[in-house]
Amino acid sequence: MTPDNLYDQWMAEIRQQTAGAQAPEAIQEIRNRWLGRRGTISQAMKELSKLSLEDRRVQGQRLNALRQEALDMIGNRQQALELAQETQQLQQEKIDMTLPGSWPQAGLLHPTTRVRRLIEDVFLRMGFSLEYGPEIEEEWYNFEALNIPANHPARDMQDSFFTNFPNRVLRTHTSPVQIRAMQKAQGALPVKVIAPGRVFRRDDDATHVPMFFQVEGLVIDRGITLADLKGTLTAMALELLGANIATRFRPSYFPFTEPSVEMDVTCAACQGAGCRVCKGTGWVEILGSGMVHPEVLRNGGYNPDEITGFAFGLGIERMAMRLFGIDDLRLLYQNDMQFLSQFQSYIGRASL
Amino acid sequence: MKASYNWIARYVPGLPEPSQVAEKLTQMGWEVASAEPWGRWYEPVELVEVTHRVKHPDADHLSIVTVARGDRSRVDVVTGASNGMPGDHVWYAPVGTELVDGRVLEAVSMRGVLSPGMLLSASELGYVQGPQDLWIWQGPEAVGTRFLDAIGGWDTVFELELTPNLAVFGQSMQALARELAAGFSLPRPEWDPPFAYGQDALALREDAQDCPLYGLVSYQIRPQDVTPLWMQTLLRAIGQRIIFPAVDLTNFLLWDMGQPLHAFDGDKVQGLIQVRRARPGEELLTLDGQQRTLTVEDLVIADDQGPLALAGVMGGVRSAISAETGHVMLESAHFQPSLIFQTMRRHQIYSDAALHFGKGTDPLAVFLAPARYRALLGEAGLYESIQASQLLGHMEAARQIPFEPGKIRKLLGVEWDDKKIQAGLERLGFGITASGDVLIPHDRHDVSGSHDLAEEVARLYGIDTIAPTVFSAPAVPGRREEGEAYRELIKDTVAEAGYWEVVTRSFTSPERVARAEVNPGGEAVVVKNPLRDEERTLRQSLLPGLLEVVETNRSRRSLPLRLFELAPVYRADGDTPLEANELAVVETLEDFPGYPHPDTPHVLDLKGVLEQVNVRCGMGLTWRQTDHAPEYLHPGRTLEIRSPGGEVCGYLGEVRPRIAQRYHAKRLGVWVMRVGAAPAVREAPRMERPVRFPEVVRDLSVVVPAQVAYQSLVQAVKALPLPGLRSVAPIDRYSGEFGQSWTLRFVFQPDDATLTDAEVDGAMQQILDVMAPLGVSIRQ
Repeated sequence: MTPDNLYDQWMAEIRQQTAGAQAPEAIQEIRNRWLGRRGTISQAMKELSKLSLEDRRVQGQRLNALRQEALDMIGNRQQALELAQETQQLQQEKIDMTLPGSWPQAGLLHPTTRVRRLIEDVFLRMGFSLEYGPEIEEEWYNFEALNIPANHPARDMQDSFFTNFPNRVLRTHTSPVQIRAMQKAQGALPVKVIAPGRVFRRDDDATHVPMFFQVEGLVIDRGITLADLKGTLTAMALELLGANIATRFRPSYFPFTEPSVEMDVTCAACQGAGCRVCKGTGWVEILGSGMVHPEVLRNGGYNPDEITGFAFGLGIERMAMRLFGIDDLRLLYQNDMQFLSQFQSYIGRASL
Repeated sequence: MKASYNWIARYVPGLPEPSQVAEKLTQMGWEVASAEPWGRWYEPVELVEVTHRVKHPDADHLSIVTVARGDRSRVDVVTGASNGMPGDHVWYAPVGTELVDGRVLEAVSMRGVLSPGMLLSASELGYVQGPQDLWIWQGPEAVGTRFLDAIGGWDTVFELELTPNLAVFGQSMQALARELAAGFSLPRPEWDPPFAYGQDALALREDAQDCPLYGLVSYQIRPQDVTPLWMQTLLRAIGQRIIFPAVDLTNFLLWDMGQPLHAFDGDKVQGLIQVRRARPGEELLTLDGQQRTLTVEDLVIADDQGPLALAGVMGGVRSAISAETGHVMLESAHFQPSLIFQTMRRHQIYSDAALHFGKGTDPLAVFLAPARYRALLGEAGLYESIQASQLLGHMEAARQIPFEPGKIRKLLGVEWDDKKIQAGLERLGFGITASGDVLIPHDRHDVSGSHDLAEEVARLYGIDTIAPTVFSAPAVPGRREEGEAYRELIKDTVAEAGYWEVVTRSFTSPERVARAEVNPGGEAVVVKNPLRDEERTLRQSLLPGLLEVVETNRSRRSLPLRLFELAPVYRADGDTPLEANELAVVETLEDFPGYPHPDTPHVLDLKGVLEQVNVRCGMGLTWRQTDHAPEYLHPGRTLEIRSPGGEVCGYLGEVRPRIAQRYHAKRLGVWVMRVGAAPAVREAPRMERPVRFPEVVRDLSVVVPAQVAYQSLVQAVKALPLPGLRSVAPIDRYSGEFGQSWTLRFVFQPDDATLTDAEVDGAMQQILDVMAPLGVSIRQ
C-alpha cells in the first residue's frame, strides 16, 4: 500500500469515527488515538526520520496536511457536541417568557406638574423668566392693585376664601404676581415673566375645584401691542397643542386688562366641526388675556403713557385635560393611583 | 341673559339671520352660550272653524264639536269647554302635537267617543287671554292659519353670558340692537322722544348721590286682563312669566330698554314719596313674602308710613299693584350702582331690577321710559290719563375724553387711520366734538380712557382682523428661580426613585390632623369662609393629607403604594402667615405576592432614598436615630433629619402600626421634612480615577451586642489606618442564642497595588481588635 492510499484510509477512518462520536468524551478518545503522543499520526511523524531526505520532505508535507485536517475535523466535531450538550442543559432552565415583565419601580410626576413644566418650557424658550408670589396674599395685591376695588361687581365673579389674618386672602388668581414682578423690576424694561402657581376659589363641582393651578404671563415694554399678544399666545398654543390647530380671539372682560380678550382653540373632540363639548361652536376657550390696564401699570410703578404690556392667565388643568384626554376635573385631585398610573406617556400624546 | 332674535329684529331692519347674529355677537364680546329655536312646538296647531256642536251621548260635561280645517276636512273633537259655538274660530292641535307642558297629544277615546286631537285654551298654548275656556280667536286670519304664523313665526333665543363690562350697558334688547346695528353697519336705531316731566310735588329726595335721578309719573289706567299678544310672545321667549298688563309692561320695558321701572299702587301711598336711607331697624315686607330688617346702608322708597320698597331691588307688599289697580305711580330712576349692588348682596335678593341697577343703567332711560310706558298703555287699551309727574335731579352732560387715535393704534398694533377709528366709534354711539374730544354715551359707564376706546374699535372690527406679530426684546435667557429649580430637581429625583407625585388640597381641619396624631405645634391659618368644616384650616403638614390618599386608595384596592408630594404648608406667625415647602414621602412596607417574588419594602429602602436624594440634590442633610420621635412615629425606627444649619427639619421612619391601620395599611414608612430654599452642597468639579488593581474581598461574621449601633462599628473601623479599605457593608444578619450576628463584607482595593494575603489578614486582625472593646467578637 502506498503511503497516499494509507493516509486516505486513515482520513476515512477519522471521519467515520468523529461522525460516530456522540459525546465530547468520545471525541477526546479519538483525538488521543490519532493525535496523542502515541497516536497513529504522531507515530507516523516519528517514523519520518528513517526516510531519505527527499522522501521525508514529500511525506512530511502530506502527513502534516493530514494532521491539520484531522485536528480541524475533530475540533469542529467537539465544538458541535459541546454546544449541543450546553443547549440541552440550558433547556432545563427554560422560563416561560410569555409571563409578564416586572416593571421597574419608577414613579411619575402628577399630570398637572408635567403640563405646568411643558408650559413653562415653551415660555422659557421664548426668554420668559419664572416669578412667584405668596398663596396667602394681601388683598391689595389680589384685588385693588389689579383694579378690582372693594365694591366692584367683578368681586362677584370670584368668590374668595378669606383667612383669620386681616386683609389676607387665599389668592384667587396668579395675577397678583404681575404687580409683584413689576415692583421687583423697579422700572426696568422689559418685564417678561410667567408665574405658575396654586390658586383658590370657593367653587366645588364637576368643572370647578377649590384649589387649582394657573400660569400667569406678563410682558411690559415700550410699544407692546395687542398684535404682540396674539402672536405670542398663538405661538404658545401651536407649540403646546400642535401646528394643526387654529386659534380665535374674542373680546372679554377682566378688570386688570383693557382691551381684554379670550383665546379659543379648535375643539379637540370634534376638530372644529362642532359637538357637545364645544356647544356646537367648534371652539374651546383656553385662556384669558389682555392689554395691561393703565391703573395696573401705575400700581406696578410704570407710566402707562409710555409703557404698554400684555398679560394672560391660563388654567393648567384645562390644558392637562386636553393633553391627557381627561373629561372630569375632579379626578385629577382624587389621587387614585389607578387613575394616575394610566398616564405613563409623559404628555399623553405621541406626537409631542 | 336670554335674548330674543325677533325682539331685537323689531329695532334693526335688515338684521341678518340668527346664525350670523350669533357669530357677530361673539365677535363683539357677547358670549353666546347657546342659540335655541323657540316656538317650534306650535307648528302643527292651526286655526279651525266650529261647524257643529252636540252634547256627548254619555257625559253631561262633554261636547262633540265638529270643526272645519284649512284643507276643508272635518274633524270631530271631544271638548269639555263651555264655549266654542258654530262659527267660532278656535285653535286645533292634531294628534302628535307637543303641548307647552311637554305632553304629546294622542288620539284618546273619551267616554266611548274617539277624539283625534284637541281644541286649545289660551293657557294650553301658554298665553293669558282672560276668563274663557277655548281661545276664541278674534283676528282676521283665515281658517287653516298656523298658530305660529299668527304670533309672528318661531324665534331664536340666545343665551348670552355677559361679562361685567357689558352688563353695565348691555342687559336689554335695545342695547343688543344698537350693538348689532353697529356690527353689521346698519342704521343705528332711533328712539321715541323723551317724556317731559311736570313740576308736581310727588316726591322728596334725601341725597342726590344715592339717587342722581328720580322720576315719578302718576297714570290713571283702565284695568284690563289681557297683555298684547306680541308682548306675551316676546316675554315668554326670554323666559318671563305673564302676570297682568300693568306689571307685564314694566317687565317688558326692563328687558326692552334695560330700565327697571317700579309701579306703586298710587292709592296705597300715603303722602309724598321719599327717597332716603332706611332708619336703623325699620322693617319692610318685600314682594317675595320676606319680612326684612333694614339698616342705614339700605336705600328705600318710603311714604309717611315708612318704607314702601327697597330702592332698585324689590317692592313691598303694602303698595303692590294688582290687576284691579287703576292708579299707577310709575318710578323711573337712576341709582348709585354700588349702593344697589351691596343691598342686593346683603339681602340676597337677586332680582332683575337689582341686577340691572347694581351693574349700571342708562340715565337717559329715566326720560325715555315713561313715554314708552304711556305708548304701550295706549296700545294695550289701558291708558286713560297722566295725572301728575315730577323729576328730581338733572341729567349730567355726557362725559368727554380726548380722542387719541395714535394711542389706540399703539395699543392694538394696527395701522387703522383716524377716519376708520372715528367711524367705528361713531357707529357704536360715541360722538367726536369739534374740539376733538370723544363724547361718551350716557350708558357707557365702563368707558374712561383710550384703552377702553381701543377695545371698542377692536371688538367692532374684530380682534381676529388684527394680524399677530411677535415683539422683539433683548435676548436674555429665561430663568427658573433657584429655589424653584431646586424643588423641581427634588421632585424628579424622588419620582425616579419610584414614587408617584400626588396633589392634595391645602385645606384640612384640626380633626383630620388629630386623626393622624400629627402635632405640628404652632398655630394654623384659619379659613374664615370654608366650603366645608373639614377644610377650615390650612395644613401645617402634608402628612395627614397623604395618609388620607393611602386610605382612599386602599379602600378601593389592595396595592403597594409609593407616594410623595412637595408643596407648601402654612402657619400663623403672630401677625403674618408663613408658607414653607415640605416634602412628604409615604410608602407601604408590606409584602406583596408576585412572580418573581419582589423584595419586601423596608424602612431602610426609604432611608436609601433619603441618602440618594440628599446626594443627588445637594441637600446637605444629616441624620441620626432618635428616641425622641414625634408620637405618630415608631419609637424604635425613626431618624431625625437635620438641615445643613443643624436644626431638626424632619423625620424618616415607620408610622406607628396602630395609626397606619387607621388608613388601611399594616406598615407605613414616611419621610417628612422642610425643604430648604436652595441646594446647600455644591460639589467642586473633581474625579477619581478607576483603580486598576483587583479588589480583595473578605467576609467576617461577628456577634454584636444589641446596644451597639452598626454605625459605631463602622466608625471604629474607618478610624483605623487600613491600607486601601474601600467599603464595609452588612451582607447578612442572624440571630440565635448568641444574640445578633452581622456578616460584614470588607473590600480592599488600594490604588497602587493588590494586597497580599498576609496584608489582608493583618488588616482583618486590626478590625477585630478595634471592635473588641465594643463587645464584638467573631462568631464561632
